Amino acid sequence: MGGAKGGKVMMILGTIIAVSIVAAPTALVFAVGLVPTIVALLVDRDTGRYGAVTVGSLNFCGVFPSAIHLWQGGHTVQDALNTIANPYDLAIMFGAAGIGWLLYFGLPPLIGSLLVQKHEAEIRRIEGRQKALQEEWGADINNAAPPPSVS
Amino acid sequence: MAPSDLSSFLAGEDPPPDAPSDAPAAPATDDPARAPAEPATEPGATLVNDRYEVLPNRPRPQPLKGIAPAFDAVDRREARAEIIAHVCISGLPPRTDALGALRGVEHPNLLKLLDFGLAAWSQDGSEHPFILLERPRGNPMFLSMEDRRPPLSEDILTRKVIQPASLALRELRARRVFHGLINPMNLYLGEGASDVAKLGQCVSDAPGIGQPALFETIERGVTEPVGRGKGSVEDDLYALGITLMMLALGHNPGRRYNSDRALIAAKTDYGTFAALCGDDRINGSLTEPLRGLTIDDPAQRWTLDDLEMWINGRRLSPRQAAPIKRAARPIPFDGVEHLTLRSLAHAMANAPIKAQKLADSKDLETWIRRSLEDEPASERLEEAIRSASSGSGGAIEHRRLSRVLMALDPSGPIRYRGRSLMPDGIGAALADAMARGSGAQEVAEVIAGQLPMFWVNVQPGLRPEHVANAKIFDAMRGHLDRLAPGSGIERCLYQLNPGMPCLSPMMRGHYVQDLARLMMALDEIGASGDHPAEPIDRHVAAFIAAHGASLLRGGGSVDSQLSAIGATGKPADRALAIGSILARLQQKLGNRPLRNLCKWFTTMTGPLVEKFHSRSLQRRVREELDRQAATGLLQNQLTILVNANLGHRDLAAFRAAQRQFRGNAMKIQHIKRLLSERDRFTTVNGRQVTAATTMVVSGLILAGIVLTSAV
Repeated sequence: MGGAKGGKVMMILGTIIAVSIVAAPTALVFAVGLVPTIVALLVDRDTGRYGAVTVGSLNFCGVFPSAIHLWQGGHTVQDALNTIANPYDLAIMFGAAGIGWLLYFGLPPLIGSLLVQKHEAEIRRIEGRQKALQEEWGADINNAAPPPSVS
Repeated sequence: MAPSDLSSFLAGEDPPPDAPSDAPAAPATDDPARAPAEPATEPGATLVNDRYEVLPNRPRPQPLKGIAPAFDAVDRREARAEIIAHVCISGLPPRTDALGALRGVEHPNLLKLLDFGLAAWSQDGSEHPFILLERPRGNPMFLSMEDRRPPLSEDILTRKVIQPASLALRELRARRVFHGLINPMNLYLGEGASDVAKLGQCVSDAPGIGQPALFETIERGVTEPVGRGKGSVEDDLYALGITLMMLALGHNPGRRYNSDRALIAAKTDYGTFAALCGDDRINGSLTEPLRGLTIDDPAQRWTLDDLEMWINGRRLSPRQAAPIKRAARPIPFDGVEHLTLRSLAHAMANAPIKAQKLADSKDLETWIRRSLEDEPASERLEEAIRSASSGSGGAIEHRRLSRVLMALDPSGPIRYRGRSLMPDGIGAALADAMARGSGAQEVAEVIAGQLPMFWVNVQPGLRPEHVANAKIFDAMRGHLDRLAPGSGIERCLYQLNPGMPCLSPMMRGHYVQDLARLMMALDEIGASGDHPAEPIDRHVAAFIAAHGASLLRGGGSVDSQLSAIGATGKPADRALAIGSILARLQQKLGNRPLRNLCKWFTTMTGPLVEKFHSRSLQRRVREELDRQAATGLLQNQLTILVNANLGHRDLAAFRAAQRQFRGNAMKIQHIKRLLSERDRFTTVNGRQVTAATTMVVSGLILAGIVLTSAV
């Protein structure tokens, strides 16, 4: 098991190193721009790592325009350094991650409340059906064994 | 409700509103008995059979005690006809057998029975039997027992009384009717030279009722009037003999005796003729029929043929009564010394406490063996004491004394706790007791104690009617032992008295003597707002059992069907049993519509309807029962209530609903469990949804960026 996990990490590292060699400017921009995501991955201990997913998704959206701009230019290390030194680009990258963090902390209580209301409504609906059944069939409907037939 | 509607309902289809009715068709209401009676024209009069008006303000004098009162009546079709009507208001039935046999009989020496029928008597509003007779010409030959008349000569007696009476008795014998009421107060003679005596009516009351003890044989005389039994032509001849004696003497021949008891004691000790004519002079040739007709031994008594031979001039050799066996030494009892068994039995019956002491002692047996030297009587006594413990009901001392008295006087009645009844008079005595509301217990104890059986056993000769009686009373004892509806003393009442009207309290005001009338009466009672909860009580059940055995055959014995009413005590089972019995009766009696009875039955069906599980089905069944009640056929209602298809479908739907109910309950439980960990639920699910939403939104943003850059 440990071997398989280690192999996976090694494969990811190998891929990153290979991409860094082949596309060093892109790697540089993503390495710097996705720092909030890396941090989120490190601090998020939830099973589903929903925090990292939320932050990472928006963080990636913040980095992606700078990467496109780099690809449309010369795709040089200098351009990459200029990008990561540009506060405007950094603000977009980290700002998007910040929005991710805001959503991660602000949205779940709201959604949870909506879900609770939905389930409570479901209970009321089922209870209504139960009441109708009881009205139609009487209290005996709750008995485990059905009463004898008429004939 | 149409049959199609009924079948569609039973198939579970919705009935069309106001569907035309073509249900198992009930015949149209064409019951003449139900048609409103035409009002009588005389104010206060009662109309009988749509023909006779009975006038309550014109009562007829009634010299005989206990007889149904008589009133003048008018025939609407024949205004000049002179009619009287006896109204049977005692609660006891008239003599239905004699009514059938004598209706319309034209005989110059019998009062003509014109008609009979039921009608609501204007004086009490209740239904009673009415008996319409021709009004007798002339007066009764005596107006009372105390009346005195000039003695009639032999010639007049023979021509105007003996000859007509013998013809009347011959007619009665041919029609198998025992008159039972032959006496000068019920013998009518017109004043014309050609007029002859006519026997008055004998049909309005049970035989024996109204007849003074003087005119009864010793055996019937010691019996209470209502329990004297059916009687025979020999008993009528005896009554005729006493009647002739009274007419020949011009006064009551028993006037010297101050009570019936003294009269009977004298008859017992000296024989009837000697006791009544001992001191009086009677024309020589009349002595012969008087002596012959009043012989106490029925086997020695003159027959009708003997009387007719005498009328025709043949003189018979004088017949003497067989001597009564007398003891060499008397036995003292209650201050009197007795020489004969019969005399002792009468005395013992009148002093039961002392009699019990004598019966328990050895003195009686010793006297019979040594002084009377009557071996058969001794054996009867021994059997009476030995068998006293058999049977049930009442104290053993009473049963023993009763058996001892029968052993001493076999031809006498059954004497028990102050009652004295002939076996074939037990039915009438029971009817009388039940109608009056007292005295039924003693009669029931007579039956339960097997006393009629012992009476048969001590008779010197076995007659066919004795065997029939023994069988009947054995069956009655069985009915008494059972407690179920349709049994008990009520069953004995209706079984022993086929003409007895139903005495159920709910039948007050109705005179119900057959099942068709019972059903009609129940229908009328159903129309009243204050009817009882159920239409079958113990009296009605017994009445149905006694009259409906043949009608209800096929669904098990009538007893088993009726016992289902009381078997479980569950209201649903009771209602079903009652409905089934009434429906079968209605069917067998021609399906006459009984809408009010159907409505009544509907009020009992609650427990049956509630056996269906579905409330909406219950509502529909109730509506359908109401619709079927309008057809007046109970079977239509039962078809709905006892319907296997409907029941099975209801049960299947109920089981499915139970499964659904359990599934829903589990769902609710599951959701509630989730909600019980609200914070965790909110966090986990909220974050999950947030992450998913963010991914989707991010995907859209990336797509937008890519597209924008490409442009």
